[in-house]
Order: sequence, then structure tokens, then C-alpha cells
Amino acid sequence: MKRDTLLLWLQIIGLILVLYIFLVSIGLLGGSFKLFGKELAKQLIEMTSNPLVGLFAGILGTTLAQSSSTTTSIAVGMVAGGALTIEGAIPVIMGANIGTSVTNTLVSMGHITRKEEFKRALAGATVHDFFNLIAVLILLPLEMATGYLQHISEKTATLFQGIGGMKFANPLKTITEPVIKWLIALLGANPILCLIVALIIMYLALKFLVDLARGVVIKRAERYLHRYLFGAAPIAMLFGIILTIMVQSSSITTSMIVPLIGAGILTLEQVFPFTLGANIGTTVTAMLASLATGNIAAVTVAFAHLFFNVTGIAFVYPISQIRQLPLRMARGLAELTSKSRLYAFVYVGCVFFLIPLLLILVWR
Amino acid sequence: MFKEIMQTDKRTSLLYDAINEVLNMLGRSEHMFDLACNSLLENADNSAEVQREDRDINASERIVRRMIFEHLTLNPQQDLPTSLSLLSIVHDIERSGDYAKSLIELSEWADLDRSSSAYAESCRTLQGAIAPLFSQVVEALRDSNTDVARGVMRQHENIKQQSSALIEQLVKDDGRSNDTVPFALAARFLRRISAHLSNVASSVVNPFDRLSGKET
Repeated sequence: MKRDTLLLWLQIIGLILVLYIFLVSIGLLGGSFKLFGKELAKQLIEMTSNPLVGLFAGILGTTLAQSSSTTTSIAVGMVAGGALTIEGAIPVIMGANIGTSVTNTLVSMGHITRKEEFKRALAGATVHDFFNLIAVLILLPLEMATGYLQHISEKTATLFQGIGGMKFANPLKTITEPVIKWLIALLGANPILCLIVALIIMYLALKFLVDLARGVVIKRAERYLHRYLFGAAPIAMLFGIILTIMVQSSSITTSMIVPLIGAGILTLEQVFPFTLGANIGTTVTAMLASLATGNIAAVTVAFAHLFFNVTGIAFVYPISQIRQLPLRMARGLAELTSKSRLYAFVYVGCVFFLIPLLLILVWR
Repeated sequence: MFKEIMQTDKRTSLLYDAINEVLNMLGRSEHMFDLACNSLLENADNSAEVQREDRDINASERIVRRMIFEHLTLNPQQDLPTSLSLLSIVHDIERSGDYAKSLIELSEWADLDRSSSAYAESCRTLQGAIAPLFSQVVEALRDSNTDVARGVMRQHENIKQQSSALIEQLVKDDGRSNDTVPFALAARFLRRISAHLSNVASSVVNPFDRLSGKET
């Protein structure tokens, strides 16, 4: 066997192993919240009963973890453990969508010493931010007023269960449950210890999962990137979905194209549908996590993440005037930063850190 | 270095596509060279076709640059010397195309004595020496054939001497011919085309920092 083929197989085996560890960590997280008992669950649910607190917690948590998968998986685990309601989890997931876009914005800062390049790179990166912000501005009030995401997601999850989808999930639960039980016993059924260990395992598993997937996929994706990213918008969007599912991180896929935008090889219009595809692709991690829990509420939250992104695209993308909005906002910010690059830092500091932190403290 | 990529990374690497594009560019460049020499030395009207080929070569250069950039963005550690060499190669091919275009301009501006001039014959000799270099450069690149690459570089040294001798002869011409300036320029342009082909061949033989230099 050739060295490259052997390496590829080792990476795939590693991926499966790390994915298993990730699923165990989700189960352990859910288990730890069950161990905490009803009192903590009640307090947490009360805390997130204000959707704006949930939203900003999602933004801040994801910005700090630099991974929406971490936040959405925690939300799924908490819902499975009864520490968070579906209603409370949806704004958190919306916030995670905004928070995850900080990574490519930070990547664009790498071009800061070259003015024109930075202008293009920042616009390319922040078009993701602005789309997510607009989607939340439209869909959060709509969700608060109608609960449409919750309804659709609950119906789909039930449908999923009805047609035997949860049977598909059961093997995942079956293979993870003995290890979860063993870990809980090993940790003396201490809820705090279980929670800490679950979070550490989950964070590391996600990190390795993304690193391994990147090693396997990105190396082989360059030809497809060249072929599909320069093509029609639906193809670019589909490519964004598939690539992000394979890499398990929208931060990776949206960040890797920033240098191409900075160099002027890709335009903002070409990047935009790819970014939207990445938004959909990234929902697969929470989906996997929820299937491992075998909990219908957790599956509902994972579906809510998917439907939020799908409806966001359905609202923003088809109508030209609305579609142009995130592009214009991204260009406007880039134009502003070309006058003073300080604006870029002010933007990141305020949108991703300061405003969420202050508003959480105010509304808590 | 090119051979390995052509053999192993067929399915995934953009460098495979970039090398193929470079080989196509060399084919177009050879065609341009033939057309330009025909215009200059046989009075054929190939201007429009040469312009078209030139546009295609320029477009290919941009495509290769884009491919290299995409490759290095996604896989910065992989094939760095090959990637940078390809950027240098496409530039050399584009320049050789520009000299072919200059030959065409020369044929349009000057009313040359093509049939009986000894200088025209010397230019034909140079053309005959340069023409096979194109296919040899393709072979050297595609197969990473160092022998063929060294052969191209050696032939260029001969062409350089022939061209210099012709230019010297033209400069010392006592005025019997009216074509001394155009033929001197033609000799110079032909020499530059040969030099750019030698530069491309050097990428097979020389380390990256000695690209376009003499054989090491």
C-alpha cells in the first residue's frame, strides 16, 4: 500500500474514532445536567427564558470558543439533559450562527498591512456576518411572534421518528451509552466533574475532528473549489454545503477563501452563496450530536438550526434588493476601514464581545 | 518535480491542471512563433491569428496564476518550489509570445527583401534552430527529463552566438542593404524567444533560485 493511501486510511479511522468520542461527550454532557437535578435546570431555563439573553449568550459563547459546533452541541446536550427548553435553545443557536462568523473576520485581519487587499478581504469575510445579523433581525422576532421554527422542527423531528429515523439514531446511542455510563460511574456521578470532563472532551474532540477532516478534505478540495466556486450561485452554494459537512466547520470553509478574496481572485458576489451554503453545512454537527442523544427535543433543536439557516436564505437570497443588503453593508464597512483600520477592531470588539456581554448583564 | 505531480495527483491537485495549461501555452506559443516567422520571412498575413493566440496565452497565464494561488492558499506546504517555478514559467512563455508579436509588427512595418537577402536566410537558419526547442521544452517539462532540458539550454547558447554574429554583421553592414535595422531587430527577437524557452527548460534542471540562469 502506498504511503499516501495508508495515511488516508489512518486519517479516516482517526476521524471515526474522534467522532465517536465527540458523541460520547454529548451524551456525558446531557447526563451531567440530569445529575444536577431539577433545581439547576429550572434556574437555567429561567435565565434563558429571555430570548435576547439566549441570543447574546450564543454570540459570546461561540466567539470565545471560535466554534458554533461547540455552542450548538452544548445546546443540544443541555436540551437532552432537560436544562434548556427548545424555545430557549433556538435563540442560542441563532447567536451561534452570528458568533461563528468572527473567525473569518479575524482571518481577514491578516491582510491589514495592505490597504486594498484588506478592504476586499474584510468585505468578503463580513458578508457572512451581515447575512447572519440580518437573518436574526428578521427571524428572531418572527420566531418570538409565531414560533414557526419550533413548530416546523418539532413536526420534522416527529416525522423523522415516525418513519424510523430515530431507529437510525439508536445504534449511535447503543454504542455510546455503555461508555457514557462507565464515565459517569468513574467520575463518581459528580455532576460538576461530569460537566467539566464532558466540555473538555467535546472541545478537544471537535478540534481534532475539524483538524482531521481538514487534512483529509481540504487537500483534495482545491480542484473542486476552482471548478465550482467560480460557477453559478446554486452550484457554489451546494459546494459550500458539501465542503462544510465534510470539514464539520463553517469557520474553516469561510476562512479558507478569505485570502482568495483579498487577492481579488474571488468577488464578493461569488463568495456570498458559498458562505450561505457553509451556514447550512455546519448544522450537521448538531444533527449528529442530537441523534446520539436519541432525545426528540434535542433532535428538534438540531432541526431548528437547519431550518433557521434555510429560511434565512429563503428570506434574504431570492429578492435582489434584500440580497444586496449584506453585500452593501460589507462593502460599506470595508470602505470605512480603508479610512481608518481602527474601525475593523471597533466592529469586532463591539459586535462580538462588548454588546453581547453588556446586554447579557443588563437583561440577565 | 513536474513528472511526480503529473503521475500522482491527477485527480485532486490543481497543479496537475496548471501544468497541463502550461503545456497548452507552449503549444500555442509554438504556433505563434511559426505564424510570426512565416509573416516575417515568407510575407504571409498572420497578424489576426497571432493576436488571437496572444490573447489566449495571456488568459492562460492568468488562469495558471489563479490556480497556483488557490493551491497555495489551501495547501501552503505542498509543492511550493513547483508552484513558484510555474509562475516563472508562464511569464517566460507569455514573453516569448510577445516577441512573436513583435516579429509580426516588424513584418508589417518593414518592406523586407525576403527572397534574395542573406540576412533573411540567416534568420531562417535561426528559425530552424529555435522551432524544435518548443517540443523539446514540452518533453522536458512533462517528463522532468533533465537531459532534454540541458539540451535545450545548450542549443540556446548556440542560437545566442549565431544571433550575436548576425547582429554584428548587420551593424558592420556598409549600407548596401536597406534591411539592416529590421533584420537586426528580428535576430534580437528570435534570440529572446530562444532565451525564454531556455529559461523554461532551466526549471527542470536548476534549483529555484537559479531559474533562468545557466545550467547547474
